[in-house]
Amino acid sequence: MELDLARLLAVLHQHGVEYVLIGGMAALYHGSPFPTEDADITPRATAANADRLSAALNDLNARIRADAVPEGLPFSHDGTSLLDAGVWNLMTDAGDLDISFRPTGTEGFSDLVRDAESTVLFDVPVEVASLADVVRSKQAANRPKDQRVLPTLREILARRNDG
Amino acid sequence: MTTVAGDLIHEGRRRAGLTQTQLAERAGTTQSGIARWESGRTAASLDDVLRLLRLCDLDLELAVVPRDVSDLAQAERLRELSGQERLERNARIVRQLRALRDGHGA
Repeated sequence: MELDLARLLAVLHQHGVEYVLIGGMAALYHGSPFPTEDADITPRATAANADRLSAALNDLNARIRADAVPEGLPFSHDGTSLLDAGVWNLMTDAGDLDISFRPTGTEGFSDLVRDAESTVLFDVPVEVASLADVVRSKQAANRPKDQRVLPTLREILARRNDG
Repeated sequence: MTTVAGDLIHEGRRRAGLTQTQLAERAGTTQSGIARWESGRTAASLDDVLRLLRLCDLDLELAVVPRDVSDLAQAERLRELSGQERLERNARIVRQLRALRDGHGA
């Protein structure tokens, strides 16, 4: 399923979900040259917000992403179950969506929203994690795919600061 | 203007969940001293960075490697685009990559 970021953001907005856009998509927003095919978000970890997220995921027909099941695994969820697991790798009718309430190297929404950039994307207000915070989380995760992009992201960060 | 050294101190402090004041206490300096390092107003030496990161229970791995600016050259070409334009460009690239993967050509 091709990512339809405009639809994804619109549905999250319609349901009043509070979140920060993080990961590769946030890095792209800040000028990363590395393509990515999914969206990563960190929602505010409150019961009310998780309930709103659950409703949005129903609208998006979210399923659990699994290599062995191309169409994804259906799952039932509510705010409580979403909060309990903390991390969800989903496919939706608007593309792949990864949810992490507390990304590695961060304290979650309140930590990330502090330096996030408030912007409008595809006519929807969005909080985009700062490039410094994207670097912080990727460095903490330190997966091979993170190691591949970090030197370039660090240099983009330093050059932005220069400007 | 910040510096790579300042960015590293900022990153380490935030990863450790410390305020500037808390890191200053560990380092035997002042909050404003930490702020000056992080902002680049005071140049931090490599030894300063190492010491501060270790006070955050972190370390810095260093290696001398060949410089490759190919990714950075691509990033330079994106500088004039807005955030949304960069995301739209990504969507086009992903579409082309998928077509290549599926054997349909770009």
